[in-house]
Amino acid sequence: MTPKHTVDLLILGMGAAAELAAIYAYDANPKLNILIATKALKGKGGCSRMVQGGFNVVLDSSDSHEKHFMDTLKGGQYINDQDLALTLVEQATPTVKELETISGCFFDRRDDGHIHQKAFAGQSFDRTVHKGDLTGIEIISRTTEQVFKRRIPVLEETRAVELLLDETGTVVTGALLFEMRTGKFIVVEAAATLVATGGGPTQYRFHAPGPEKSADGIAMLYRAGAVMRDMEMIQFHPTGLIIPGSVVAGALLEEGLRGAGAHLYNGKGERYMKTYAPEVAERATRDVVSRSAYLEMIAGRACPEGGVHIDAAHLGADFVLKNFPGMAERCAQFNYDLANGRVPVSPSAHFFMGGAAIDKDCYASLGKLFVAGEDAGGVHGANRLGGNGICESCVYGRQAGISIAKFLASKENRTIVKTAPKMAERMAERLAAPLTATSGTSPLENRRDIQETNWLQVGVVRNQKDLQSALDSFTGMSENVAKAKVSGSQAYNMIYNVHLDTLNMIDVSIMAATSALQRDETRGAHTRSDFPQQRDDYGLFNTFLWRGESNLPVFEKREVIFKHKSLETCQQFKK
Amino acid sequence: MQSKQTLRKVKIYRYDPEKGGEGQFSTYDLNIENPAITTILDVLIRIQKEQDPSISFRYACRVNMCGSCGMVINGREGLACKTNVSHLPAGQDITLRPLNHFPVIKDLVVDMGPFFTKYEDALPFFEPKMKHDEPYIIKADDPKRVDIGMATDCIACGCCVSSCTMVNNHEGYAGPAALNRAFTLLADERDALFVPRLTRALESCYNCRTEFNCTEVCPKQISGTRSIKYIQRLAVTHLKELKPLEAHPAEELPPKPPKEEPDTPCCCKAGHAADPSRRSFLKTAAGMVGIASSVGIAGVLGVAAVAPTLASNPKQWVPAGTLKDFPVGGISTIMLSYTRTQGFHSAAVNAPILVRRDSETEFLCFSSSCPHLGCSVAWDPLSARFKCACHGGAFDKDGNVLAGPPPRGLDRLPWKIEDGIIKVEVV
Amino acid sequence: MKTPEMESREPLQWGEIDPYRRGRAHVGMWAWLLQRISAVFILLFLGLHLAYTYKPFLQFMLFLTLIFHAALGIRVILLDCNLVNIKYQRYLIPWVLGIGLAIMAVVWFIIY
Repeated sequence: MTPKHTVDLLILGMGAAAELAAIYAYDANPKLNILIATKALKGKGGCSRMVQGGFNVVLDSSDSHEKHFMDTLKGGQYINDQDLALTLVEQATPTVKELETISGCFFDRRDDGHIHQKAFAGQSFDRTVHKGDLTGIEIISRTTEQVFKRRIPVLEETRAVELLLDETGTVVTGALLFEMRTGKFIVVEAAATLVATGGGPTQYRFHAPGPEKSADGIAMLYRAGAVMRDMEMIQFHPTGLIIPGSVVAGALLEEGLRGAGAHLYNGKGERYMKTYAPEVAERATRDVVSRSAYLEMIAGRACPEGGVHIDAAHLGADFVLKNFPGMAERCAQFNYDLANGRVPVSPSAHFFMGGAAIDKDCYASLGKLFVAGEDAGGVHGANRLGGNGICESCVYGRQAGISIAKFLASKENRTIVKTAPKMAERMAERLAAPLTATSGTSPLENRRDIQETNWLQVGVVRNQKDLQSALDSFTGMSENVAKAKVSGSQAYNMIYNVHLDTLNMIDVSIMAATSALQRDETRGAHTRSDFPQQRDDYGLFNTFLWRGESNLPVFEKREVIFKHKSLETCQQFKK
Repeated sequence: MQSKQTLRKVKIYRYDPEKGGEGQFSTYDLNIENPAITTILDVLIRIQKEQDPSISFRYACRVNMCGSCGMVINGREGLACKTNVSHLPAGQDITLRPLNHFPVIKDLVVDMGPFFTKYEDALPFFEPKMKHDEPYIIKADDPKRVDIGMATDCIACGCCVSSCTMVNNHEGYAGPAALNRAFTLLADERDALFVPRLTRALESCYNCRTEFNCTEVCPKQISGTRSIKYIQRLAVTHLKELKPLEAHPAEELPPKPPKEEPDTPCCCKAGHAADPSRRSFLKTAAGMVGIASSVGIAGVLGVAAVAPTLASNPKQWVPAGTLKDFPVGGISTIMLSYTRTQGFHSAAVNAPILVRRDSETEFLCFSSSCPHLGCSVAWDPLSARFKCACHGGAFDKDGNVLAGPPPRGLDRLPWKIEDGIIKVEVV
Repeated sequence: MKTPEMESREPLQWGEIDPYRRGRAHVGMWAWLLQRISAVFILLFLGLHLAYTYKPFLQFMLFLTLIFHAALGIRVILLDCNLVNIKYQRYLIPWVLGIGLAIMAVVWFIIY
């Protein structure tokens, strides 16, 4: 029999969004029974920890929320949910301050003792708060300690595999968890469920997030029937390290390097960004820089290692070593000299702009369901600015914590809804099948197939034909993936975990490919070689999708609502 | 392409929780073409993919930011993702083993529970002094922040605890990682828990033996030893402020386990007590050494204190030889052999004395023990003086000091002649 | 689904089945360990020295162990009081030992 827990609030994930939600929900009502389930060790999983650059926030009196808001809309090519983006920039300020005053983070200071803010690409003001070039460690270490302090129980190495629903299929009643150490399934029923597992588009050959990420939350939400949006928008970070044959390949060199003035060169030694974005060159937004690099690469002007070169040496070796010690060290480990030489980089899959549709209090489209962080979509539109990612996680984690505490204040909301009978058991049985299967493909091969197909056909630059063929292969693959065979015991079976990952990856890939087919233009992170222009007369919509009857996504294009800023204001905005 | 040069033996520790037992090494051969850019994590992933899918290890971020992949690599703790094959000595096999001092869940995967328990004991969390809306204004070159430096970058990988030889021998020792975090908060002027945290840390910070193992293995170049020394100094300078501990509110709260836990996920019931036989052996051994040392010290001190008071009592007359043995006008060294009875203790004594015979009935007897440090003094006929070989002391034939460090002349011993035998009074 | 009984192995100990551990340079650890061992030898030689009042060899050994013990003790004091930056801890050991032995040599030749 599967063990069962009943709690008030179940938080899936333990990154910045999940931890801040736990902290704020607890502070609002310490009597809440909160349970955190994380795929990794306490506070060690997730991408928040891997944040290098920093946190965009308005602190300076000569900066304004207005400017940050406009930068975010401009960066997102106007299709952001303006409510969400406005909440992001407005709430970022108190969030950062509370990270310092409540959680005890300590960000780098200026000489006068105020928080230092550095330059990031695509911004009209230097507003990125940071701690050296490894900001995520500071934020996550400190917030994890605050979770310890509040004695919020954490299930370690226990990943969520499916959301549980009531009989009507419209209310989330909890989640089915899988404990990796023992190979047991656990049922947790909760009065409110927060999905904050983070995304991590690891379904590409070249990916920036750690390989343990697999867009679990996004796939779970989709399978549970939540409304998703903008799933075609997958950001590629332009500067992922090229390391042949290593799992570290794709790890990032932070954007601050470009912000500080590093140059990019193609194989011929030309600063190609000058042709793609004459005004800002390397300080263009990530979508532009990645696309340009990719176009250079397929035009045959790649460097010998297969990508392009980033050069920070002209900034002075001392400057680089002082300001980017973590990056220099990361390069040095693989025999690259960041301070004195050029380092080969390539676009690397990095972030889902899309995700579950939420409102600014993190309510998703199903009852008792909250979503925060990368699992949610709409904040960033078609492209995310560097430094807005950890900002989203923290701000919406905080929003979620506050609004969940409010939600659970009513007695009616705090009751547990009954899960549809036998639902968890059937899920567990289906998921455990590969362990007893006698034949089937290896999950490692499945993962490689998904990654290759995505990289080649749903990658940085896409076209109708490739997308269609990818979608066809995905539908075929999803059969194979579900029928994989895993040998070995249940205890800490890494291959079985890869199998669970691939189940999520394939769903996310299908969403991305089908969504990408809906947008016949180039906008932000979505580049179509058959429609190379951004079409503002056509493309100002968001693709909403949810799981239909035949397991394939159902679409609805909805016009962007220019609630706070009109299209003209956005178009005319210059940095 | 596979050649002798690129083929490396990889030995991986295996433990299967369903079988139990002690665990053993499995050996794999792996072709590593470019060891300079191949991490140990790559090695593990490749072996898992190509040779043995059943091996288990833990990793997450793969860019040394999460601290999940700590293990003992060729006898040294490190992160698998941060250690390249080329960092290991070329001739050695690659030997991978789980961290010390943590229960092993499977293969290279350990239970970090004990780490976090000790970590939490050090009150590792920020507690604001007062409600503050704005971040503190602290200059970048504030001495305290300079002290803290990068020590807040700890990623809790457990390498330091594994490398420490003390953590497992002292029940209350929080270990380097926890104390490092305590240090960063103690030096943080924004924090309110200075006194309780220092009191807490005080209980364990003196268990550090200044071995620097934690400093040597830390993948983030944090020195646990430095942090611990900092706490030790703080403890000395703030001795008066320390009070008996009240429990922190976080500890008074009952832990809130989720309701209905039939058999809570806990795969590690055993193992936390950490090796009772070894522990008890160490305790016994430490006790024995302690007792032996105390007895030794007490004995030495006791002898030093008691001996002088007893020394004056048991004088006796000891025959030195017949008159014939001593030529007139000559100086001879003879060995006295007698039994000294002192209190309950008797001992055979062999003491040389110096005898000068001036005439038939005139003798002078000296103790041959130099009054300086007790070395033997001998007559040197060439220079016609008594000489001490140790530090150049010299005495004339009457025993008066001529040169060197001796504070006084040679001690004269009383003598008498009985029945043609000369007797000397000795102690 | 049936879950088999699982038990985690008790923690591995420092150096247990660790083939390369011995060859590794844990300099500070050896400094500590040798200092403690030298204390036992000091006791031993001190006892012998008291028993046999003067034996140059014993005196020499006692002196040597004392210097060794004191030098390593001073190393810890220097680090405790932050008189030497901790990053120099590896260099500190040869330095204190060298200075100790030099002092010993000088004193030895002055006395004798």
